[in-house]
Amino acid sequence: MELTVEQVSALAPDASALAAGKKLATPKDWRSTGHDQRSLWGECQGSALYQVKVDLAALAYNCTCPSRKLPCKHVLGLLLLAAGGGHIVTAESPEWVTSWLAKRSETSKKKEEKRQAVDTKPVDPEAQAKRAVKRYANVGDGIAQLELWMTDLVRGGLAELDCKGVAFWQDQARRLVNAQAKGLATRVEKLGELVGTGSDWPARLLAELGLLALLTQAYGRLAQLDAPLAADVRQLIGWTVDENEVRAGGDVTSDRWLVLGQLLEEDDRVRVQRNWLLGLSTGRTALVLQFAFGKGPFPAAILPARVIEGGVAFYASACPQRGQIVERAGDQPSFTGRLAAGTIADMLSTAADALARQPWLGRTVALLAEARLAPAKEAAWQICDAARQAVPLVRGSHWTLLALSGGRPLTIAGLWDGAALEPLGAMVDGTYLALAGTAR
Amino acid sequence: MNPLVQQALVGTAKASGSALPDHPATRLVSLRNDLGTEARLLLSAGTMALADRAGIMPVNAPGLPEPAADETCGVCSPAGAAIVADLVSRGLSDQAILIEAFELIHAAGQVLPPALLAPALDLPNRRELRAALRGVLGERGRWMAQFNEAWHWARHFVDDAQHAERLPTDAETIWQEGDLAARVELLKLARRHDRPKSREWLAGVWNVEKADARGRLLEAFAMELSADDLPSLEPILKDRSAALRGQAAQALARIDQSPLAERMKARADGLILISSAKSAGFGAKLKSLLGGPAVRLEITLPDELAKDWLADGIEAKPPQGVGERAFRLMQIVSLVSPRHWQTRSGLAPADFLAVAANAEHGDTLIEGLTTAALVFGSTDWLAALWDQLLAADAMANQTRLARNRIARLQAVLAALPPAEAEPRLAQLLGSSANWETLNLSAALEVLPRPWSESFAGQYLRWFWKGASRTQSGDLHNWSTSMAIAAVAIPQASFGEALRQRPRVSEQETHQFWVKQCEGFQDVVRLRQRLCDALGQTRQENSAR
Repeated sequence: MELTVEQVSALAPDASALAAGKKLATPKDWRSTGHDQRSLWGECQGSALYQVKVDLAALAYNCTCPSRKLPCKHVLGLLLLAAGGGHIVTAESPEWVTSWLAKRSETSKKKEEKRQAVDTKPVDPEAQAKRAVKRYANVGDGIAQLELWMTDLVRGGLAELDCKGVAFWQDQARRLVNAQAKGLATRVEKLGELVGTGSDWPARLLAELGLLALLTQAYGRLAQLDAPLAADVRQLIGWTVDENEVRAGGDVTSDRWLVLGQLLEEDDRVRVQRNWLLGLSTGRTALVLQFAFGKGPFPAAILPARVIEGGVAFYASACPQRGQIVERAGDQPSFTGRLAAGTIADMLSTAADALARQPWLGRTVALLAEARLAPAKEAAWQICDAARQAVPLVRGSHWTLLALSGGRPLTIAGLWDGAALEPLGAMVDGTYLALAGTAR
Repeated sequence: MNPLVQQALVGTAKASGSALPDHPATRLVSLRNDLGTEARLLLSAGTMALADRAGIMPVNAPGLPEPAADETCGVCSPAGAAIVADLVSRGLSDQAILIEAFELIHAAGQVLPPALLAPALDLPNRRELRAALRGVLGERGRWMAQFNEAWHWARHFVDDAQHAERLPTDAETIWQEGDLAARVELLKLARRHDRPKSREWLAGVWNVEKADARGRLLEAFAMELSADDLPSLEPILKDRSAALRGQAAQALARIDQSPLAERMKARADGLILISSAKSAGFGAKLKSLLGGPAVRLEITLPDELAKDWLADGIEAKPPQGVGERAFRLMQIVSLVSPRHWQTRSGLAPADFLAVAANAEHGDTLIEGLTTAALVFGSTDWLAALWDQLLAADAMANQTRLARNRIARLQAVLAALPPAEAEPRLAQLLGSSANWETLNLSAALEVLPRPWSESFAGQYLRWFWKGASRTQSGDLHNWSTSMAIAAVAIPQASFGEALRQRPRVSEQETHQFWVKQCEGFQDVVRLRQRLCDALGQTRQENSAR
């Protein structure tokens, strides 16, 4: 059982839960603590005596307290106590832990049976086709209206947009949501964020409008596209893919997956967790998205810098990137060794190849060998390789990365967005360290 | 500007030309005759953006900084680093514990892990915090500091322990480029190892630095003085800053052979006449025979401020509430070693103060003596002054001295060595009456930390006694002192602080106290975890 404080912190639903958990990370608040190969447990005296148990294989947890925040402060406190080291002894799990584990096994078995039952459940093809026709019509109308809106923008001139408020973009996004084209709606909302930011905003806005126009054109020619690219276009427009469909797609890669980094986006209602994974044997990279509503937990515990043994089922795509974890066999606390990494030229070539296959691809994972940072006072920092080539570095964790490197070359993992590299983590003294993820 | 962007910015309805720029990406779009001008412009912009994104070229690497020097110290334990990271993330809310953490790491000969350097360097500017942080930044931290102007203060570190015998090899660089705190530390080292250099450095900055910086440098310079320092100090008596003139006069007064010290003694002797009580009137003689003091004091307040007094740093303008004549006497007395009065009167400090208290203008003399005891660091006088100030009847005596009693007591307490200060404060813990003259929290605040085990034990016994009550006259002192005690008790007293639990009762007020006690114990527990994780102890006062 090895966890770091950073990894436990990444599980917390919010800062206040984490702060409360830290207060409980002292032995005096706990009794009957113990752990074995599979689980960790303890009893915490709050308003009542709460029993806390953690399934270490899947990092699932349960507490008898009535908190709506998950994981609650008691779970976080116990995990932080364990991460602090030395306070929890190996023991035989008590009945209240074994019965919970047994119940969990039973529930997951039932879930699997239910999923298989859904797979084999006969569908009504006629009703399904009817629904599809209706949706295509809806989306088609939405796209036609979007194209007209974009035409008007260019005819009237982008200069006029400087004085438009947020509502201008939100109205158009709302129309697309009503037309069941959520993907396009999100892109339109983001366009509004570009206006007025930096002197080159017209060029950046036009580029994004252009890519949006390419996407609507591609949707109009969906039947002529290769199936994987057509799948990409459908997803980008807003068609969702069923979880079972992904599994059934058959593109499942088993490997030891290193969680290179984790980025969190939050709004009032939904939290989105973006996990970037690297297959240590295959070299494949995957983006695993998780969603949580309110203060609720994410479906699975994916912690930065840990290694997940299992499979990743990839969504159909001309350049498969998004995936979901299937058949999780267990975790390793960290990665030590060497990561296969390349030069900046390799990174750019890989990114160009990916864009050729899927032109709307946002970010790609890059692993740079012998990378060094070049700090700058006002201009963008650069990241350089052994061939003395450089690209801009996204600010955020740049100071931490500089401190970790001490000016020496490191293997650095990051996300290349076509203009700059956002660092996710680095190999430091033979161990992979993930940089703290922030909301973006 | 890209012609495509120009067209889009102006609007196709207003743009004069609508031809697409010649580019491989736009040539494809030009083939689509079925599309309108705007659609072709948008698709061209999309394909060009894609081409730009896919075809981006790296630039030549700029100059790279020299790597940091190898770390000479180990990094603190991961468990300790986790606690420190948490404290750092909370900023100044736990400043005292953060300082303790840095001191523990430094005492263990360790430094902060690299991942913590940036957030630690970003901590708000507090002198004590930065002084502690300097010691744990290590080579990596000092290397980092060069890249951020806000961190430049951390580029240099003068480690007392490392330079116990000589100045660091880069002393000149630190003196020229270091921040004020680093220069102050360096000047203190130079006072120990290279006094001519310290004089040269002080002279070099005198016309360059601002008054407050000169004041801090002068304070460092004046720590250990000799007659050789007279040429460096005497010109400062003519400085434009009154504060600096005063500082210089105090420094010169502390040099036995200095002409200023001699002049001050002569002036003081002219104002304070000490005679045998036997030569006085019948009443004084009787008192002397009954065991009273054998001397009497005749104190004269100077009417005039001579030019030579001004030249020696005596100020003309008194602070608000002080008379001009009294102020002159106080200044003169403050620049004469208190031992001088022992020699002249043959009395012990306590006896001399008793005589002064009964003399006309005695309170002015005592105020001057208090400053003198602080300037000259005379422990026996400070101890006697504490007792005298505490014993004075605050309600009956409405003199200015009595009104300033709390401030004076705190100043005296802060100057006393802990071994002298702690027992005096411990005596007060049991007596709520004395708190009318001294604010407990303010008094505890000035005690050096960590407290001795013995004093902490006395405090804790008093503390738990208060915690078991629901109504008490000294509850206010009791509760306000907790925050100070939580960060001041030594490691050896943690067990005693955590052993007891506040009794829970239904009374609302009592529940408030229970929460206060729990908060106190939470802080102690955090410090205990810190000490366990960092595996070292700070130098405890119990060893004193």
